[in-house]
Amino acid sequence: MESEQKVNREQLLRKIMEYKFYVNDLTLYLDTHPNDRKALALHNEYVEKLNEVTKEYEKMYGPLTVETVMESWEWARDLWPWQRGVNR
Amino acid sequence: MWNYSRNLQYPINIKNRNPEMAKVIISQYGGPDGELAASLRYLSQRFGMPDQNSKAILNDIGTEELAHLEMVGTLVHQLTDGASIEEIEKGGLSAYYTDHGLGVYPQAAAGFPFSAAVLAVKGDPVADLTEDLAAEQKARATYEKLIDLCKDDPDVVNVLRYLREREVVHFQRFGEALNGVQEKLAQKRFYMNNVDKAMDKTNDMIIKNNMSRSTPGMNWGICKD
Repeated sequence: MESEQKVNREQLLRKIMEYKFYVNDLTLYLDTHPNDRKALALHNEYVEKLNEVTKEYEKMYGPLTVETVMESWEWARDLWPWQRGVNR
Repeated sequence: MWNYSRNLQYPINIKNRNPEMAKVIISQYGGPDGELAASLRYLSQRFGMPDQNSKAILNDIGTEELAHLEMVGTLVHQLTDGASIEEIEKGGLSAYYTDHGLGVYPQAAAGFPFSAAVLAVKGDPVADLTEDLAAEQKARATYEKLIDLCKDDPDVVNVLRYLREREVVHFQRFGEALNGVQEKLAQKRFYMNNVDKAMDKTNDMIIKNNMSRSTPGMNWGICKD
C-alpha cells in the first residue's frame, strides 16, 4: 500500500515536472518571440494543466511551495528533493 | 524575488556512490563555466539591458540556471553521501574532504574556489550578450567532457545530457536576443522635437556607444531636446 502510494506520488510529480518544463521552455521562447500566438496558447494550456496537477499533488502529499495553507508545519518535515533515494 | 518549489527541474536518483565522479562534476557547481557563474552572470547583466526582450531572457535563463545549480549540487551530494574514508581516499577526494568534509562547496574540478572573476558584466548589451553566447558553449563543452568521464553510470549521464541540452537552447535564445538588440541599434530614430544636427549626432553616438545608460526615451523613441 505504502509503495503504491510512493509510485503514485512519483508519477504525479513527474507530470508536474513535465508541465513545468514545458512552461519554462515556452517562456524562454516567448521572451524572444513575444508575438507568437501559437506558443502563447501552448504556454497557457500547460499552465492550466500544471495548476491542476499541482493542486491534486499538494492535497495528497503536501506543499510544493510555502505559499500553501498547511494544518501543521509539513514544510520542514518532508524530505527534500536533493536527498538520496527521494527521486523528486 | 524567487519562490522555491520542492522539486528538481529534472529528477535525479543516483544509486551508486562514486566520489571520483563527484570530484569532476563539482566544476559545474562552482567552476569557471558552472551554473553558479551562469546564474550570477545573467541575473547581474539583466539590469543593464536596453529592451524588454533581453531583460526578460536574462532574467528567465538566470533563474533556470539556479535550478541547474541545485541539480549539480544534488549530483555531487548523492555521489558522495555516506562515503567511507576508504571510498573517499580511493576516489581522490582526500584533499576536498580535509577542507569541506562531504559538504558541497562551490569550486572547480581543479580545486580553486568559485570566483566572480570568471564572469563579466560590461553594462553594454552587445558585449554582455556575446559573452553569454560563449558561456553557453563553454558549459556545453564542459558537460560533454563530463559525459565522457562519467559514461559508466547511466543515472549520472542521463542528467548531464539533460543539462547539456539546456545550454544549447539557451545559446539559441541569447542569439535571438542579440539579434533583436542589434536590429534596434540599426533602426532609424525619429524625434518629436526639432533637434539640431550636432545634437542629433551626439545623441546617436551616446546611444550607439552605451545604449544601456541612455534613458528609455532616448533609446529608440522620443528624444526631448
